[in-house]
Order: sequence, then structure tokens, then C-alpha cells
Amino acid sequence: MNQTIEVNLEKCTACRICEIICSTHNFAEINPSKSRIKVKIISKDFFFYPIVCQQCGKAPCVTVCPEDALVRNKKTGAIEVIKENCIGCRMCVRACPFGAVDVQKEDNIANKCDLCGGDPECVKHCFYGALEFKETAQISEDISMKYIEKVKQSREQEAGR
Amino acid sequence: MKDQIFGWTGKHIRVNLSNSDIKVVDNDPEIMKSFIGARGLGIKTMADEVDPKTDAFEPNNKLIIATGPLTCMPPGGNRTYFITKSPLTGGIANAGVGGYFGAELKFCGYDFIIFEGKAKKPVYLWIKNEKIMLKDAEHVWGNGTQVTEEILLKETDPMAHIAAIGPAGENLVRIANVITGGVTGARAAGRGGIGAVMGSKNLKAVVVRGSRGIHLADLKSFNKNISKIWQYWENPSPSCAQGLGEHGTIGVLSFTNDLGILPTRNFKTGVFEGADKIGGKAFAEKYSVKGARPSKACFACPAGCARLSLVEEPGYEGRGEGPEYESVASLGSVTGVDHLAAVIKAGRICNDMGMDTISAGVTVGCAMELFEIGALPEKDVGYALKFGDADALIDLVEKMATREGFGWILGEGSYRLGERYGHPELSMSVKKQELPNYDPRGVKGQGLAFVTNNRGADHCRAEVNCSEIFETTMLGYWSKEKDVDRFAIEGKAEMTINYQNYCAWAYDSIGYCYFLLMETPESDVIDLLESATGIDFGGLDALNKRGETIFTMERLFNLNAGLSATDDTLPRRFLKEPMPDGPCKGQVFEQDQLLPEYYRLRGWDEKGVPRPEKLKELGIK
Repeated sequence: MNQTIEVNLEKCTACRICEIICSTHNFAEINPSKSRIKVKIISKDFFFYPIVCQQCGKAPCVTVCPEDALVRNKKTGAIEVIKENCIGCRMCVRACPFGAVDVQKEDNIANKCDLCGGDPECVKHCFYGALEFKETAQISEDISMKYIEKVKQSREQEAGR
Repeated sequence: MKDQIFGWTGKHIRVNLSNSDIKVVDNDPEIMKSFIGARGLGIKTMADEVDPKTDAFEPNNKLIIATGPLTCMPPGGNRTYFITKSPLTGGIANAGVGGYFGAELKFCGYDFIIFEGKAKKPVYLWIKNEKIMLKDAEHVWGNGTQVTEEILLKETDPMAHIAAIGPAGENLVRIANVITGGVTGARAAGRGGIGAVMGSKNLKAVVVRGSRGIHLADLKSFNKNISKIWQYWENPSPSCAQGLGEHGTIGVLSFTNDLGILPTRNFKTGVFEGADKIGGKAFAEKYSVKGARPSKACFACPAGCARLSLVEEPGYEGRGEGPEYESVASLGSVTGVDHLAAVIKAGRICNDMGMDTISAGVTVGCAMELFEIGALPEKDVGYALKFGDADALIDLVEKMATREGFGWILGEGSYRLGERYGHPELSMSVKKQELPNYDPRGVKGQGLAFVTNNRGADHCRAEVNCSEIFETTMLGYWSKEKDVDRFAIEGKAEMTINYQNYCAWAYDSIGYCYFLLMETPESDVIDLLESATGIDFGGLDALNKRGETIFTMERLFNLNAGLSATDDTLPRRFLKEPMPDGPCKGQVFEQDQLLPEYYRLRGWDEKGVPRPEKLKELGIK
């Protein structure tokens, strides 16, 4: 399995239900500050973006971790935090290109998306499909199809002219 | 060892603005159980602590900003209420708002804030978890809500949420509101002039950012209940709920026009020839950033009814959240303006200035009719003020907020405007608060709600429309097998009362959005409330009784403030002038039949005063 959470930006309504579901699922409380997915809202530009771990192939967080506290789960493909090993040094926080890892105030331990063991709750509760759980191969397939569609349209327009 | 608290945070803040004293206080569990939160808690605090005869702008008036136990919970729990004495009606004001503010206040660890006194100079309250402080706001005083948000978030936290007043509130405009999210994310606690009360207290804004969690009594049942409610929402009723996602509330405009209840030219008629130009379809095609798709949601809400607009037409350019139905109708059809870009701009001005779009539009409509009948001299306005004049609409809305020139009297609202020019009956208001956009001649139950709602003419405190026109199953009146006749008056008094009592707790006190209630059976709302709080509220009848208590306490506050049965009336137009055309042609509002029955069923005497046995039954002293 090599699936990740794909963000369809244009479908996000900034309802932040993903944050609520993530925090209740993992911490049994409603608390966006503990959520492993965070919707960043830049209101004045009408811009909302759910930030969530992309489970990178050659993950910088894993590379920089000095204590082997970040380990890929072979079954789900998710990079998981081994709590006993984590020393809360924040190297992973700095290394992540998306800002998708944080360190919790309470226990000073890294907190990141583990794909809920292979069936992410946030995706299940995303009402308008802004979050999808997809094979990475499928993701590139979809992006390339979108790209081709665009090229096709501009060609057709040119031909029409 | 204290019991753990679920749903609520268990604490509130009391801020004395006169001496800058800030206290964090534990909630009284008994009060929370009886009054639940938000609007219920607001009237409880007002009844206990504020003399109803106090002038709304005096320092001894208080302002309560309160959430409910379900505020911050899906699906659709995000409501925050602003409760105070209204400078517009002279009675109770309770204005609700969605957005993110209330949830963030709870994540700071507080259910509500009580503001008392008056600050010596402009301040704002900044709350970050246990850190609560009053900060200088002189540098943002005079600014619109957009710039205020940008400046205050820069100096506090970029991910904070803010509720702020604009110049209208500062200038004590009686229809000033509180805006959360600036212009580009505008959600308004709109009605009753609460923004002016904040202005009178020199309180510019409240900024919140929290990282504390809210605990649930029974997470498993809570999740189960949410999934259940989700199901209803996925198969919504076609006329209303589906349209919300597709077009937002602006989609309602063509519907009310088809029904002949779209207020047009100061409510002279219910059909607007320009409806297509300002309706949901026109908006989606020209100005909606995401077209006919959900654009933006409030916290925890699957509906996403908000629209984001981008206007590039020269003279009207700008971006903002909205407009929604009430704004487009009030600023559009009520003023006869069919130029959508101008209507959107007028709405943006209202949001930036911090002013209620409904009251602003209806006040302009009133001025236009005063001019038309010759009661308002041209020299007072500076030009001939005609229905349909888009430039005049924008000019007057701006002046209303700044109180410049003719704007001074406009800022007093339509009733005082009409009174000044000798025609208060041309103010389309109840208890001096302007009517929302359903002509009562074509929806009789909704009309009765306008007459009797404690905060004045208003659709939210009892949306009888849900049964009369929107074909939702709310409260079991409408079903596929059984239609509700919107023109009938039989049974409408009872229907209105049931809506008022139910909404008083289920919408206004638990913090759950109306649009989600429409599709949710009462029993599921109770399950959700009980699984979140862990408290047995005693079933639907007991909760409706609480709603009735909240409603009745507000009524008593109003009566003690000096309002009376003479204030329970629609303007003469609806009672005496039959609807001139459209599907409601010939209809009037039969107030003389509806109101006495309403009083009787409420257990009030013929003067609208609750009888002693009713008060005893409800446990009100």
C-alpha cells in the first residue's frame, strides 16, 4: 500500500471538521491545536489550505531524527512517532517542508499524521471531498490528466481562432 | 476534586471596563443546566444584573458574549451570542453569529464573557488561554473591521479570531453590529444595535486564540449521533438545504420572489421585476468566486452556505464574504436597486463599517418612500432620492455609518427617521427594528413571529418559514404528505409559539446552527446535547419548557424596560393595505385575530403580560 492524503484545494470550505475529527480520534477531545491536520486560513485572500503530512518517500523528518523516533509503518506507508524514543528536539518540525509536524506542549513529543492506521478519519468526514485518500500513482495520474485537459483546451481554442 | 465538565469549558470571564478589573470565574453548574448557554445564559445574566430601565448606552448596561455547549462541535455548532439591552428597541438584544470566534473562545477555556462599565479610552480584549488583557485600541479606533482585523491580528496572533466593531459602532449608530472576520470573512452578529453598545463602552474588539481542548461526556455516542445527523444532511430537502450548498442563501431570492413575498420598494409589494438581476443565478455567474458551489463554511459546519464575492466592475470593485439573502433583499429589492454589483458594494460597506445590512437597507428604503410622498425635502438629502438609485444607496449607507450630514438621522434607524419626518408608519419595523425579508402578508406564521419576537422584527428567533414555505420537516408541521398553507391563520399562533420555544434552546442556547436544525429531528438534537454534556435534560418537553422560560424572561425584561402590547404590532401597511399584485394579491396580515390567540396560548393577559400562574409554572420570580 502506498496511499496518502491528497488535498483538493479548490474544494475546501475551511469548515475545519477534519481538525475536530482528528483531535477527537487521537486525543478524545475537540482541540484543533492538537490536530495533525490544520486548515490554514488567509481570510483576506480567500485562501484555505489543509496542511497534512504527505508521508514523503525520502522523508526529511525521518532523516534528521537523531533518535530513530520516526519510523515508517510498512503496512500503511505512514511515518509514525515512536513515543518512547522521541526526545522532543524539534528537528523534525524544522525539517518538514509543509510544517505538518508539531511538538505537543503537554508532553513535548512529536505529533504527526499516522493515517489512522491506514483509514484516515478526516478523509471520511470531509463533506465536499477536499481530502481524498489515494494511491500516489493515482494522484500523479489525475494531475497529468488535468494538465492534458488544459493543453487540449488551449489547442482547441487556437485552432478555433 | 472537581467533577470534570463536558461540553462547556466550565469557566467565564468578567471584565470591568471602568477599572480594568478582569476575573476568571467558575460557572454555576445549576445555572448552566437551567439556561444551557448563549441566549439563555444572556437573559439570565441580564435579568439578574441589569436594571431594564437603564439606558442602553449607560455604563451600567452590560454586554454578554456567550457560547453554547455545542459551540465548536460538528455538525454546525459554531454560534456565539451577544446579549445586551438594545439601543434600537429599548428591549433585550441578542444577536447571534457563526464563524470561528465562539469556538476559539472556548478553546481559550471560557464559555462566556461579561463586560460591565465603560473604558476611559478605546481598548480591546486579548485572550490567549490563561493570558487575558485589555490593550490599547486608540490606533485602530475609526478603522473599518477589515483593517482593524489586519492590525490586531498582526500584533496578537495571525491565526487568532476577532469580533470587532467598525465606525458605526463607535458613532453609536443604533443599527451597528459586530463583525467577526473583517470584510473578507465577514460573519455578523447583526441585529439590535449591539455594536453601538460596544462602542459606548469604548470596546473596539475581542481577539481570541486558544489551545485548550473541549471534552465530551460520551465520545462514542457523540460520534454515532454525528454520523446520524450527517445522513439527514446528505439527503436534504430540495427547496432549502440543497440550495444552501449550491447557491448559499442568496438562492432563496428567486424563490421568495416567485412566492410574491420578496419585499420590494419599502415593502409596497412582494414581487420585484429586477429579481433575476440580483438573484442567486446572476450572482453565481458573475461574482461568486467559486460559482454555484459551497465557498466557505463556519466552524464545524458541512453546509458551507457562505459565498465569497469578487467584483471587478469599476466603481464597485472589491472582495468580500457574502452577500447572503437578507443583505441582497434589504439593500436590493427593498430599495428597488437591481444593480447587483452596487448591492454587493453596499453590503461590503456595511460589513466594514459594522452595520446591520437588514436595518441599513430597510432604513434607506424608508427614506426613499418618505421622499416619494413628499415628506422628506430634497434639500435635506442633497438630491432627489428615488427608488432604484444605486448611487444613492451607496451614498446613504456610507453616511449612515459616519453620521455625516443627512446620515445623522439615518443612523438612528428607520423608525426614528420616519418619526422625524412625520411618518413613523413608513418604517417597516416592529419594536423599531427593521423587518427581515419575508412579506408577512404571504407568510402568516412568520409574520406573527415578527410581531412577537422579543428582540423586535426578526426571522431567526422563530423561522416559521421552515414549515410555511421551505418544506423542511422541522417540528413536524410539514411533510411530503401534508402541506402547510402559508396564508392560513388557523393554528399559526400555536406554531409560532412552538417555534419560539424550541429555537430559544435548540438554536439560540446550545450553539447549533439553524440550517442544520432544519434537517435534524428534535430527538437527535437532544442526543447530541446529552452525549456532549453528559447531562440528562429530561426530554423534549422539559427542554421546550426551558425555551419557554428563556422567552418569557425576555418578555418580562422588555415589559420592565417600558415596552408594552402596543409595541406588538406590524406597521399599518401590512394590516390595512392588501398586497397589490403577485401571488399574494389581496392578502393582508390578520393581526387582530392572530395576536389575541397568541397571548391566550402563551398564558398572557390581553395586555400581553404573563399571568402569575404562568410565571409560577415556569418558576420565574
